[in-house]
Amino acid sequence: MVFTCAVPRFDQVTRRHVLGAAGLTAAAAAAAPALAGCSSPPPPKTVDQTVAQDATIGPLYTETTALITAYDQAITDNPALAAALGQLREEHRQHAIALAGLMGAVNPSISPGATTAGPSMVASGAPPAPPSPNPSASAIAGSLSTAEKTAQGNAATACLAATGDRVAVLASIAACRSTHVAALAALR
Amino acid sequence: MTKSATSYDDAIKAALSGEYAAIYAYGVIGAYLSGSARSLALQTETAHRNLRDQMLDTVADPPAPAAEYAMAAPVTSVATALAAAAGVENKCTALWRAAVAAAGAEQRQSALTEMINAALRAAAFRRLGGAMPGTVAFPGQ
Repeated sequence: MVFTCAVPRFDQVTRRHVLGAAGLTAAAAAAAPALAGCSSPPPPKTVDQTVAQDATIGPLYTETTALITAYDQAITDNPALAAALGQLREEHRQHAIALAGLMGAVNPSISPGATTAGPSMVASGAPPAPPSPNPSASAIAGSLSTAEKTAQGNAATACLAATGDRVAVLASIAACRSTHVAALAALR
Repeated sequence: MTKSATSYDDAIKAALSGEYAAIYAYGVIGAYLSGSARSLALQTETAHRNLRDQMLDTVADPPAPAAEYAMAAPVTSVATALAAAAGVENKCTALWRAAVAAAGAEQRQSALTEMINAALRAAAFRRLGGAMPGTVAFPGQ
């Protein structure tokens, strides 16, 4: 990691500026040389930047957000499954946050709740679209299970090749996805 | 970061001690269960026994079982038995996760497999206890 110096928080910088205007305190004066070495800390990276740069975690992050989208769609298609699928989706959201952290990115903004499509608006005068039957719980669980299995294998592979703090996080993500496959089987 | 052999040895011995404790626990848990829950408990106890035996063959200088064990919480009913089983598997998941983190390239796959097996059983016992889907975001953490 390149962040070997403490990066002052914005509010601390502001406070220091105020102190500077009133005359530096001894503590602030002592801290000043240390801060001089970090006069231009790199700004926090966005997830998009780190995804492109991290060949290991980047694809896992992208896959995780795709899973979240798939769960959102599944909940929209069959709202009766919202309770069970919502929790699985939330666990993927927590994985996305953890993966972003491993890449040194700021927290991604992913909605904590499933985003469901509202009732479709039909333009006046147009014939109403025939209602399409909701996919069955079994069909949805089967489709999600296929995606989870692939994602589980990718997380396990990444875990086996990882080093340092990444190993345990990726192990938990791989294990979680295995439990998702089993939970989806219980829904079918 | 390079993990030392010592830390992996410690982690794998801790995992073996967890297997001993799990075997004891299922002796208590199984008595309160019937039907599919009892079947899962028996199957799980067998898995822990097989893993213990395999580890005793492969772990250098393995630790001995404790003289006595106690359940983390009283087991007096189906609900408390299922909760205890989920707790045992959660603990094993954590111990195997530590082994995964400490393992070198040669040992990591087998430790990850045991971690996942324990996480799957923890979730299965939670579902039997009425939790759906019974999963957690970071098993073993």
